[in-house]
Amino acid sequence: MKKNILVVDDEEDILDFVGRVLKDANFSVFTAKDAKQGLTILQNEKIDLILLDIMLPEIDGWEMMRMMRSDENLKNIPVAMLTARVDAYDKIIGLKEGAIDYICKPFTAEQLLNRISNIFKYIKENNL
Amino acid sequence: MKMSIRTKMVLFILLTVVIIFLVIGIYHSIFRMHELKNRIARDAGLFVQLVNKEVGRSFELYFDNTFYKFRATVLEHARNNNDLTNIQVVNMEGSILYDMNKTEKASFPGARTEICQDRFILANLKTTEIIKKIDKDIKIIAPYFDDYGIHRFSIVYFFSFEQLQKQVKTIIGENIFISLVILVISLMGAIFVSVRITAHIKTLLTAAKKFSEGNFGERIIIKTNDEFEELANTFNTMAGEIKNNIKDLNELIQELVRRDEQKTIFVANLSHELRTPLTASLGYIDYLQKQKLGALNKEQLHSIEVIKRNLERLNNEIRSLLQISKYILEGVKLEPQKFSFEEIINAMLNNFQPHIEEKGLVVKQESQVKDIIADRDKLSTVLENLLANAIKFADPKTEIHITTQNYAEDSKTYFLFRITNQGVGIPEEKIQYIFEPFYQIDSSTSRKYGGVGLGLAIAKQIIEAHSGTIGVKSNNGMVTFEFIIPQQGG
Repeated sequence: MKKNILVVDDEEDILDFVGRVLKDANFSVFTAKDAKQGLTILQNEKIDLILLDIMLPEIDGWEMMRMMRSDENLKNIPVAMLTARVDAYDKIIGLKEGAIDYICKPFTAEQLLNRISNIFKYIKENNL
Repeated sequence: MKMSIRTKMVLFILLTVVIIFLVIGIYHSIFRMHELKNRIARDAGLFVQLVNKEVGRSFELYFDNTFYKFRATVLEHARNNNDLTNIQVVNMEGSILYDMNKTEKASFPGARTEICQDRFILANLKTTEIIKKIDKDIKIIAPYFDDYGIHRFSIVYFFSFEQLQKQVKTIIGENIFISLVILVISLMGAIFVSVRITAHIKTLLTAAKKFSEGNFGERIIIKTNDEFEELANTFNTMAGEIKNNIKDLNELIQELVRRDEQKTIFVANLSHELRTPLTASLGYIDYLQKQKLGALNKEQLHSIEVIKRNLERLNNEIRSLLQISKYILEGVKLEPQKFSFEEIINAMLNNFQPHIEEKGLVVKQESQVKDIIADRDKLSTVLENLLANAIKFADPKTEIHITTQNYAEDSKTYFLFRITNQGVGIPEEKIQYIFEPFYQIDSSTSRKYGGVGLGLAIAKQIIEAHSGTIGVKSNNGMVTFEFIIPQQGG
């Protein structure tokens, strides 16, 4: 069964690229341009993983994650953060806030797919 | 020895007064002594002259009258100095018939009025000879003989040298006393003057001190209508100028700091904004290159390789920009851990191998240190930057030396890393700027060697966050970069 991945990023080209790569890798891809759209999709679809950009207009990535954590239905969906920030310090905060992984921009298709496959492996092993 | 102006002024005035009075006193004493001696000699000379005048001449002597006549000439002089000189008339038996200092009138026991042919006989002394002799008591005796050659009596002229000395001593004593009085007066005067003057100096000094301690509102009020008032006014004008200048400078600094911060924030935002388009570009280029979107011919692959390489270069520069602006804005946050430094340096040399081989460089390692404690990722960045730098600026076919070592100093352990390359070298006057962000030795360097010059600035930030130091030496094209970071116990 195909895994459903939601990508939330305000950059259409990134959505385009990530969508393309994920589709080619045989995932079902949902894309959202902001947190609001993302939350709407989350209400209607069963999502297995969210790739979430931190810097989003209006509601940023951290805020969206906190909103999900307070929703019974959404709080267990794994989230991987996407960011253009470089410092490991942000990584720690991201992981503390409950992100399962932290993917730095820019990334290649190969790097992205490797990380996603690792995440699913981790989820499976830990029965999350 | 520190001596205040006040003390110096008092001492100076005192010394001057003492010297003046010493000179005047000594001169006065000598002069007085000489004057006295002269007068005495003159009197003695006169006495001798008068006596000699009578020699060989017989005249009628009504004793009393003649004596009084005699007295009126010589004795008037002698009497003025009657504590020094005396004239006596002594008879043959040695009895004093007359003493000038004791009585006005001569009392001659058994004296009678008779006509005598008397004459004076006296040693033929000259005035100058008498003066020379006045270093002891003088006694000039004029024997008086009558017509029959009988020695009737003598007239004796006395001069007491001892008395003269006593008098001179008194004069010296008087001089000393006057000197002392004037000394005390001038001491008081000196203290008064110097207190008045130094009080103003103190006022000025106190104000200047307060001012130098940062109390820029300090002003001086002196109303003496002299140089002190002028000085105080000049100080006030100067203080006002400085206060205004400092105010302007502070405003300027604040403005500069604000602008600099703004610029750093701008750079951070800009690099962030630049990275986002790069993500999609690099992603797709890589995707294309891996022929995921269809097979490509050789030329297409070459073009894509060039685009990719340049995008990666752009990405590296942007990453450095983002890193340095982040370090400047937020500081460097460390995650220290123990790790194998040896492994990291070897892995990094491995990464750089193509560049090393391309230039025909030989890397020589002298490593004594295996494990260190530091932020692994950040120290790797430092090593990468220093290594890239050394390779970039090394002349082809030269050696690069790498040394690591642990050493102890003041019960602390330090880790030292040193890398030396031979190449263009760094000009003496430029060496101090080399760790500043965006610094390249000249604008042509950046074109020749590439990069915007952030590697060393980032390295400095990271090493300093580790409480370490980083430095560089350049000598005849031998460039050595060295950093030290404290280990345990530090």
